[in-house]
Amino acid sequence: MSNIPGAAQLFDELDKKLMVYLRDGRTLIGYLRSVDQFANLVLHRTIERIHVGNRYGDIERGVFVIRGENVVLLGEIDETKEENDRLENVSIEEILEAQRVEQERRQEQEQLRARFMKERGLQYTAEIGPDDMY
Amino acid sequence: MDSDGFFEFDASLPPEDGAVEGGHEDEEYDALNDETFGSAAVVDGDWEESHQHLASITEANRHSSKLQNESALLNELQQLGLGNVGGYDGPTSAPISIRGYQGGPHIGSSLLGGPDLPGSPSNSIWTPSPGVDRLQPMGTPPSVGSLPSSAPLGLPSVKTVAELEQEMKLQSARTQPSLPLQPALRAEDLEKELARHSVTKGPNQGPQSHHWPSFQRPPGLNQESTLPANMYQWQMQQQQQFSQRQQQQQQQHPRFMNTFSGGSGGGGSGGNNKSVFSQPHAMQSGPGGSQHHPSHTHHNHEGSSNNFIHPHGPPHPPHHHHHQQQQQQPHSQHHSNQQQSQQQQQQHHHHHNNPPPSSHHPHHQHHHLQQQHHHNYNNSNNNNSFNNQHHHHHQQHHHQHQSHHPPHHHHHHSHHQPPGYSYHHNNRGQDGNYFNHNGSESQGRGSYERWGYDRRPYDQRGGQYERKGWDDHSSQHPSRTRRDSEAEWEEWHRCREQDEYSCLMTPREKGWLKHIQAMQLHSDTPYRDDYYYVMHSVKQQRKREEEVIEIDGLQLLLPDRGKDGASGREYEPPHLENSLGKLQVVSVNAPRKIIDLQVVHLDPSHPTTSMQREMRRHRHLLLYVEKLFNKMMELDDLERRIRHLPDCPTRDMFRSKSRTLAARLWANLNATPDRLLQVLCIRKGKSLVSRLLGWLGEGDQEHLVVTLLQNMTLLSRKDAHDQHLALLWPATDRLVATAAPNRLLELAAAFNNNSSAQVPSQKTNLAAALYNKYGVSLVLALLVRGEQVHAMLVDSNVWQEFLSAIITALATTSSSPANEGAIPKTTTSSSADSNKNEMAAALPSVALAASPCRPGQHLARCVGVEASLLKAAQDKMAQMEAIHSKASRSQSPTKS
Repeated sequence: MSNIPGAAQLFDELDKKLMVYLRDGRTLIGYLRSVDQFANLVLHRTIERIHVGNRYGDIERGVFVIRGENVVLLGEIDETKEENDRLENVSIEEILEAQRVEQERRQEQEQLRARFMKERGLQYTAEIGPDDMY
Repeated sequence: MDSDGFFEFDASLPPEDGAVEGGHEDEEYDALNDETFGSAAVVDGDWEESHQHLASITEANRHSSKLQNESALLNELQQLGLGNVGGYDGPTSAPISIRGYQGGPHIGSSLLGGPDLPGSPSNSIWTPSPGVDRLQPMGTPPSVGSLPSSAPLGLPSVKTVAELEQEMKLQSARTQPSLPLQPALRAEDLEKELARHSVTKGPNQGPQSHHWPSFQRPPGLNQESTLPANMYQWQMQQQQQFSQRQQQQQQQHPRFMNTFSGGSGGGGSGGNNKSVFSQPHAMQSGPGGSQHHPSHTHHNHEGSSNNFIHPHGPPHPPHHHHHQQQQQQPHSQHHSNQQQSQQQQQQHHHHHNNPPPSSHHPHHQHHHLQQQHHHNYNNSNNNNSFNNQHHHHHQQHHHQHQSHHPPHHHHHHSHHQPPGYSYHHNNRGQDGNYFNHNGSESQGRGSYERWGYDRRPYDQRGGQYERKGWDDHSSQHPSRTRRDSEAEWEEWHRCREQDEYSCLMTPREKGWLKHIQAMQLHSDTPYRDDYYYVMHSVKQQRKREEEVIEIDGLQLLLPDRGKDGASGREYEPPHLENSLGKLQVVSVNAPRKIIDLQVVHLDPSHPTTSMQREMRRHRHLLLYVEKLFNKMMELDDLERRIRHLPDCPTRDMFRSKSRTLAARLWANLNATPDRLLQVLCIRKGKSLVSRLLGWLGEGDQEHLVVTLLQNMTLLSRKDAHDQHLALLWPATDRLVATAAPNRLLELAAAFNNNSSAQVPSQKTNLAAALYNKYGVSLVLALLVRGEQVHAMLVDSNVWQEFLSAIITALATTSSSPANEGAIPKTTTSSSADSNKNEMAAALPSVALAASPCRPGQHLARCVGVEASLLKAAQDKMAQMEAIHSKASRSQSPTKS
C-alpha cells in the first residue's frame, strides 16, 4: 500500500522544503519531518518569512510543531525558483520595522473607514482578521 | 538497556532511566497501534505469557540437567546430528516454543518428580512423542569429548533470548529474593527489570554477579535481534553445505511441532498461540526455515554455556559472510569451548581454553553489538562495501582494546569511542534506532548516541521482527498486517545515511498512518459513500483500456483501499442528526465551524416558530430525497450489472430485483398525494425522478406528467434556477409523441385544471409553462401531436379549451415586448428564460423534428377565438418554432 488512491497525502512531502501558511497569517518555511493523521506537522530548520511589499525577511525558528488545524495551505518550495525571484532579502530588523509600518498604515485606514461610515450612519464592523477567516 | 549497564556504568545518568523510558515509549507505541487497529497485537500478549511459562520450565530444566548427565540422550543427539532447529518463526516466538519443548521432559523430572506424572505439562505434551527423546539431549549439557563430529555447526544446544532473560531473571531473583517473579512480563519489562537489577547489584559483587548483569545479558538481547539477520547470511552458506542436515531437520520438525501443538493445552493459556506460531513454520521449514538454525544455535550456544562470550570461539556471522573459509575451523573450536564451558558452569564464566585471553570479553561484547548493526545493514542495504568498512572498523577496535582489563567494562565504553568512531556509531545508531528518534532527540547528541546503544537491541528486535518475521510469515500472522515493505526500508536506510535528520518517520510509522487514513476511507458501500471517486476511477479505467470493462460489480473496479487492514474496530465518522450524508460542517474555509454548531431542537413539544417548523420539514424532505437516492444508486448498480452479465439466471434475478426496487421507489414517491410534488420541487428530487422514469410504465409516466402539468405554476417557479425539469423532457417527449388521443386529452385537462386556484388568473398553468423550457416543449409537443391526431381531438371541449388557452397565453405574453416594438428576446437568444417575462425556448424534441405538422397550424383549429389573437399567437409560435428548429438543428436531440 504505497499510496491510497483518491486521497491526499503528505508522505510525498516528507523531507522536502515546504512553505506553510498559517491561519494567523504567518508564513513558515522548513523541512517537513513528520506528519500524523491530523496533518500536524513537524518542520525542521524552520524560518518564518515576513513579506512586506517586495521585501522579505527571515526569522530563524528552528523546529516548529504545527497543529494541523492551523494550516491554511502548504506547498513544496522550488529552491531554484526561489533564487530567481526578484524579491529582496532584508534583515530581520528592517523587515519587522516594515511590517510594523504596514500594520499601522492598515490600522489607520481602518479607523478612517470606520469614521466615514459612522458619519454616514452606517455601522462598521472591522474587517475580519486572518485568524477568523479560515 | 543492558548494554547501557555495560558501557555506561560510570555515567552519571542512571541507566534505568534509559531503560525505563525506552521501554515505555516502545510500549506506548505498540499500545497506540493496538488502540488504533484493534486486536492486532493481542496475540503477542498471549505468546509472551506462554513464552514466560515455557521459559520458567526451561529454567527448571537447566537445573535438573546439571545433575543428570544423560549420556544415552547424548548418543541420540549424536545420531541425529542435532536437529534442534525447530520452526523459526520470527525472532522470538518459535524458538521459545522449541525450547520449551526441549525443556519439557526435564521439567517433568525436576519439577514434578517424574517424567510421567499425570497432569504435568511434560506428560501431556512431550512424553508421548518419540521425537522428544531425540530432542532432549539438546537441553542437557553434553559432556566433554562426547560431542560428535557431526555437529560442527555449533548446534548442540539451543537457547533463546527468552530463556536467557528468564534465566537471568531467576538468577536475579535468587540473589535478590525480594524481587517477585511476575507471571506475564513483556520482554521489555524483563529487560527493564534486568537493567535495574544490574544496576542495583553493581559491578563488583564477585564474579558471578559481576558478570552476568552487565555481560551475560546483552548477548541474550543481541541474539534476539541478531537472529533474523543471521538467518539471511547463513542461508547462502548453509544451503549447499548442510542440505543433508536440513533434510533431517525437516523430517524432524513436523513431528516435533505437532507434538508440541497437540500437547500445548498443558502449557497454559498461551498454548494455542504457540501452536499457531510454530506450526505453520514447521510446515514451511524448507531450505529457508532450517537455515535459520545454525546461527540460531550458534547464539544459543553462547547462552547455554552460561551466557558468557567466547571472544573468538563463536564466529560471528559477518565473519562467516566475509571469510567463508574460516567457517569450519572456528566452529569446531567453538564446540570444544562449549563443552568445557558447560561443564564449568556459571562459576567459571570467563575461564575457557580459548587462545584469546578473557580480557577480550568486554570488547567482544562490544564487537558483538556492532555486529548486530552489521547485520542490519547487510540486510537492508546489501551493501558489501559498507559492510566491509564497518568490519574493518570493528577489527580496529578489537585490536585497540585487546589489552583492556575485563572487569572494567564501563571503562571500555569510554575507550570505545575514539573520535572517528562516534560518527560511525551515530550512523549506525540511526540505523537501528528509529524509536529513539521519537522522543529522545532532545537529549542532545551525546545522550542520543548513548541511547542509540541502549536501545538498539530492542529497536532492532522491533524492526527485525516486523521486517523479517512478517516478511517470511505474513500469511501466518493473520492478525498482523505488514504495512511497510522491504523496499521502503531500504530507501529509508539510504536516506537515513545521507542526512541524519531526514526520514524521521520510519516506513512503519508511515504505514501506520496510511492505515489510519485508509481505514477512514474504507467503506463497504463505496458506491454510495464515495460515488464521485468511484465513478471517476471507472471512467479512468475505461479510458485506459478503451473498452467497456466487464465487471460483475463495482467492487472489482475499486482500488483496494483499507481493506487489507480492516481488522479491528471500524472507524465511525462523527454523525450529526439531520446532517445529510457525511458530516460536512467543517469546510476548508471554516475548519472550526463545528464548534459553533447550534443545537437544533427536535422536540415537538418545544415551542418553535413556523419558520423553524418549515425548515425542519424541508430538511426532512431533503433527507428523504437523500434516502431515495441511495436506493436509486442501488438500482443503477443493478442495472450496470445486468448490462454486463450474459444471459443467465443471475441476470434475470437482478432484473426482477431491480424491477421490484424501482416499483418500491415509485410507490414511495406516491405514498402521499403531494409527496411527488414536494420531491419535484427539489433539484435533487427532480434528477431522482428523471432517473427513475426509465423504469416506469407509461401509466406512471403519464401520472407524473399530469402532476407536473397540474402544478406547473409552482414547479416552474421552483424550476427557475436549476432548470432540472428539463431532465424529465426526453421521457415526456417520447410519451407525448406516441400518446393516444385520450391521453392527450387528459394532459390538456391537466393544463386547464388549475389546481393552484389561489394563483391569479393570468398566471395559469399554461402561462407558467411558457416560461419554462420543459413547459414550452411540452406545449409544442402537445400541439404537434394534436395536429397529427386532430380528427379525434378537435371536437373535444377540453381540447378546444386547451387551444384557446394557449392562444390567449401566447398572445398575452407576446404582447408586452411586441407593444414596445422590439423583437421578443426569445428570437435572439435561446437562453432567454432568465427573464421571467420572456418565454422559454423549447427543448429539442425528436418527435417535433420528425413530424411534418407545425404547432402553429394546429392553433388554427381552435374555433371561436379572435382572429387577431390567433394571428398574434401564430406569429409567436412561428418564432418559437424558428428558434426551436435552429436549436434542434445545431444541437441534435441527444438528450433522449
